[in-house]
Parts: sequence; C-alpha cells; structure tokens
Amino acid sequence: MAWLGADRPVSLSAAFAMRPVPLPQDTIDGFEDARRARFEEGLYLWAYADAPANPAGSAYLLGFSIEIALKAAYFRVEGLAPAFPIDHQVLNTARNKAGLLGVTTPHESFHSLVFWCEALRALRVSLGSPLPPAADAPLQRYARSSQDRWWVGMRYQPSATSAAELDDLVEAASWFDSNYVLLYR
Amino acid sequence: MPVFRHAPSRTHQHHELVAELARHLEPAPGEPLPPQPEIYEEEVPGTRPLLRVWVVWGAWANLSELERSQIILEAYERARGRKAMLGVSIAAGLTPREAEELGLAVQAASA
Repeated sequence: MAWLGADRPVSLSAAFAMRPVPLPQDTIDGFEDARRARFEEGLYLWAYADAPANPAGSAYLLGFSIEIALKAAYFRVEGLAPAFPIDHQVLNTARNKAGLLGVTTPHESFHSLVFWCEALRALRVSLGSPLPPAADAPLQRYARSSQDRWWVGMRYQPSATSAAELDDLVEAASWFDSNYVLLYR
Repeated sequence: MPVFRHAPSRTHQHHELVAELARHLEPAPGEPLPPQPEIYEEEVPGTRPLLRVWVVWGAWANLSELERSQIILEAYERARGRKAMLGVSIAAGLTPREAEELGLAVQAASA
C-alpha cells in the first residue's frame, strides 16, 4: 500500500488533472451559487408570470433549487472543501455510502430529492450530528412533497403543475432557501 | 436476434473481493500479500480528514465502476470501521491497464 500525502511531490489527482480534455467541474461553491440563482429565477417566474396557469418553468427551477440545496448540504456535511471537484466518482461514492448507511431510495440519476434528503440525514446521524427535530421534520416533509411535484424529466412533458402545487413548491423552496445553512451546520 | 442481459448489480465475486481487499487494508503482522490489489490513498482537502482512494486490481476487469466503488467502501468499513469508511470521499477501482492509460501507474511509481 502506498501513501500519497500532501508532502509528496506528485499526486494521483495531479495525474487526473493531466488528462487531455478537462471537463467543467462542479463544486460546492458552484452548487451554492446555482441554488440561489435557480431559486430566485423560479420565484420571479412565480411572482410575475403573465400566465400562472402554465407554471412549469417556475416549478422546474424551484425543484432544481431544492435538489441543489440538498446535494450541496450533503457534500458540506461530508466535509469536502467548497472548491473541491464533485465528479461522477464523488457522486458514485456518495451513492454507495448512502446504501451502506441504509438508504434504499433510488437516486434517479442523482436527481431524487428524497434520496438526497435521506442520504444527508443518514450521513449526519452517522457522524454524530443529527438534525434537530425542528429542522428534521420539515426537511423530510418538504423533500417528499416536492418530489411529488417535481422531477427532472418534467422538462420534456406538458405542464401538469397546478397553481396550488406551484404554491406548495414555492413554500418548500423558500424553506430550503431560508434554512440551507442549517442543513449542514 | 441475440438476447442481452443486464449484469446484476452485485457480481458473484463481490463478497470475496471485499474480504480480500479488507485483508490488504489491515494485514496481519507478517502476513504475505500478493502484489495486487495496490491501494493508493490521498488526502482530500476538507473540514475533516478525508481520503481519495484508488485501488488498482486486475480483479476489477468484469465489474462496473459502481460496484468497484461499493466494494472499496465495504472493505474499508470491514477493515477499519464505519468512521474510516465515512472518511472515504472518493472510492475508485481501476484495472492495471486503466491505471496505465490514465498515467496513474507511472505517477505512483515516481512518487
């Protein structure tokens, strides 16, 4: 077994970085910027849309803001640095780790709100810092209710979101926006 | 027309490979070990001790990337406990050929 610590001149990650076609890298920092942006865009469409009977755009963006919040909070709890690249290997490891911690919800190409909610909760419990009940209960409730109203594939479907469902998504996304920091602290 | 079947999510070697990898992670004193699997650990920047783990092993050849990652995490948990498993942020398995194609074997040898 070899140990390649920070004191070594050449690291394995450096070897990966030398690959000829660098891909854009997702990071916690990027997730957090995107989370806030998608939330504000979704809220804007909800508040100012001329055709509230067709709220698909708003619902789509608000759902993404929740997904990104859960994902970013998970990796914050994991302990990764904000600028660390979140690639498919990191995602696969998170998926497998969630499975070992008893999460059975399918990740749905890493877009399932309930998967990320359960993975986050399980990771926090395993690390000895479960969410307080006052945050844990709404976290679960809003993740589950939002999953009933949003899925990543809805972009290919005619809008099926009612005004009442959109109001529910606004309430849920607003909770995640207001309580985002609480999810990982 | 041929019939294509999806491989099961866990191959029949799964538990055997977990046990073998765990044996390499925490070998008994004086226990002779074969040259593979090669285990490379690298510290990952973060707010708590985290590792990126690569395991180079010919035994990965017929396994998916996902199952390789799963086996590595299970082996860490078995050999070093849950806390150590939770500290693995990236678990990736590569065959020697894949490692060579990525330049990892060369990098590791020169480090």
